[in-house]
Amino acid sequence: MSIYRIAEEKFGILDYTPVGICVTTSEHIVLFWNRYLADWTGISKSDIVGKKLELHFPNLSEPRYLERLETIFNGGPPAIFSSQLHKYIFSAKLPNGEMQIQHTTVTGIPYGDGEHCYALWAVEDVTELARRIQKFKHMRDRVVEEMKRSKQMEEELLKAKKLESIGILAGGIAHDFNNLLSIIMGNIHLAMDEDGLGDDISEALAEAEKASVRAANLTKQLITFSKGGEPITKSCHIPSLLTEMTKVAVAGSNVEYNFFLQDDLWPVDIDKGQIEHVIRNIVMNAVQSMSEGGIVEVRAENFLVSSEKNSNVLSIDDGEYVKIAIHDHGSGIPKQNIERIFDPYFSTRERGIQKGMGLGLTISYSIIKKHGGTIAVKSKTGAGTSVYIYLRTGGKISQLKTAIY
Amino acid sequence: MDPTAQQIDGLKELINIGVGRAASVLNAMLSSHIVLQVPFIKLLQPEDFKKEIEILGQESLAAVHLGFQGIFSGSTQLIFTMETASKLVTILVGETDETDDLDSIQTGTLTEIGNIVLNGVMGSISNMLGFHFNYSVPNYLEGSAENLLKANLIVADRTILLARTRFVVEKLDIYGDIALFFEMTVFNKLLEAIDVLGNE
Repeated sequence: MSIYRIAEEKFGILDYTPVGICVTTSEHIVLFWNRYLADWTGISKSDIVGKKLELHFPNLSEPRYLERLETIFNGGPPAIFSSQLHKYIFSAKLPNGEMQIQHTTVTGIPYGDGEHCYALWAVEDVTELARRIQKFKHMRDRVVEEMKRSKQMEEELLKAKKLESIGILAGGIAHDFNNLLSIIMGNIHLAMDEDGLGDDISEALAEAEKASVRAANLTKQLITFSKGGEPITKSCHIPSLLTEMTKVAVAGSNVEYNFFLQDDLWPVDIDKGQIEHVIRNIVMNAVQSMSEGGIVEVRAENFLVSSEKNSNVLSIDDGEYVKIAIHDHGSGIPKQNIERIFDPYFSTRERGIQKGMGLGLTISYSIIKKHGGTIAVKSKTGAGTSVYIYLRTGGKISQLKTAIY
Repeated sequence: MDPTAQQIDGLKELINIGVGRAASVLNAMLSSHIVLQVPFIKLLQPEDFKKEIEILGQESLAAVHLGFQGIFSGSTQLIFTMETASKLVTILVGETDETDDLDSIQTGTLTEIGNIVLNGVMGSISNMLGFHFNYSVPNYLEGSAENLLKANLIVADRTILLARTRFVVEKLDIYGDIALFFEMTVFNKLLEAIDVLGNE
């Protein structure tokens, strides 16, 4: 009886296992080839038994397979060829044209004197398992993304509510305070007009006037921040505004600037005065963070925000925006402070009229939000800070771009 | 029989040879270059081994188990914490998924990696001893340290060879443990074989 006939009798029962099975000699001559492997690969028993495996599967002549198979024929431990590292050992096309994904285990079966082994190849079809895992992962990623987005929106809403209530309060106080300031300043001017004031009194009145002017500026900021400061928008080209405000903000400091502005930036719908205030304020923060000097980078590019591909993570409406990025290489903001930087009266700088009131970023945030845009900050302690501003153009989506900042 | 410092060095070299072979097999297969090192080995009694793995705390472990029978029987395991196992598989297959869990496909990958490493070590030892073993098909185990190793620790007359294995891949250092569970008599044979080799 031929060796193939013996093998068929010995292993024939394996035709009924739902696994691809093949038995080979140490020269890789096929002794047995079960029905599943025949179905999967389209190679019948009669076509492959008695022939070298490599004739049909040349990939198996690669050293990475040969080396591991050799130890099996010498009585070594089994070899596993997992689906992620090999995809498949015996190429088998599925009805949809894709390749079957396989997990293969090759075990030695001693024969004769027990010194030599045949190899038993057991091939599991894990295509469906891999597909389901992939589908599950995709679903899980989407849920995680959705949860992240919803948490972000919740935080934005909370922030907006907080700002709104503070805004109402601040606005009310600011209006009344402004009226009182007008009386104080009017009376200071009247007093200053009096003849025969001594130097001391004149100086005191001048100081009082200066403080009143600062107080008036502060109330103006509070009014902007409050409900009363709704933007009156006009279509505007942003490049000149960016360059002018940056130059104003760095004037007199040891900080230099670089501009990277896209040539054909879309016009944006903005209240020019308010956006000037925002840019100036953010560049000034950048300058102050680089006490030893440095370079502020101002970038601007056209940007499309779209939730179609679930990529709008900015909590703003889909549409065309101009994305402005202001980078510094300063001291950076500690992680624990990042969440709070837009909160009113939160400042890492020393307090006082000249030092900082902690209103700059709150007002900037409020202004940008009222423009239908958004503002985001990324920072690393010791490495610097990047502030991203998205301003609406009022345009429609013409192409898609992932909104990741 | 307490092993001498020379015997310990010999054992370490033996494991290193096996692990070195495993690294060359892995490098022929993977796109990322991997370096395997054995910074130290320890010989432990079951009680000490329990203490050693208690360091891993209540964390869930992932292990690849390879049993062997022959003139003597034993088993060997490559053990990782779930987190490091997941990290290793993710890096080796170039995925970006960052969970501390392994799905069925990934456990297959870890089993193959363990298969290669353990085959290298067992190949090195069986060549040294000149013994032939029959091996079981490597399988993946997951669970607490106690559950995973219970079967190997109930036999008191056992020596456990613990070889800390360092997987260096893409700027990342990942540590796993190779544990070989031998009966005491067998272990003494291994030491004798190392002595013979040392005297040649």
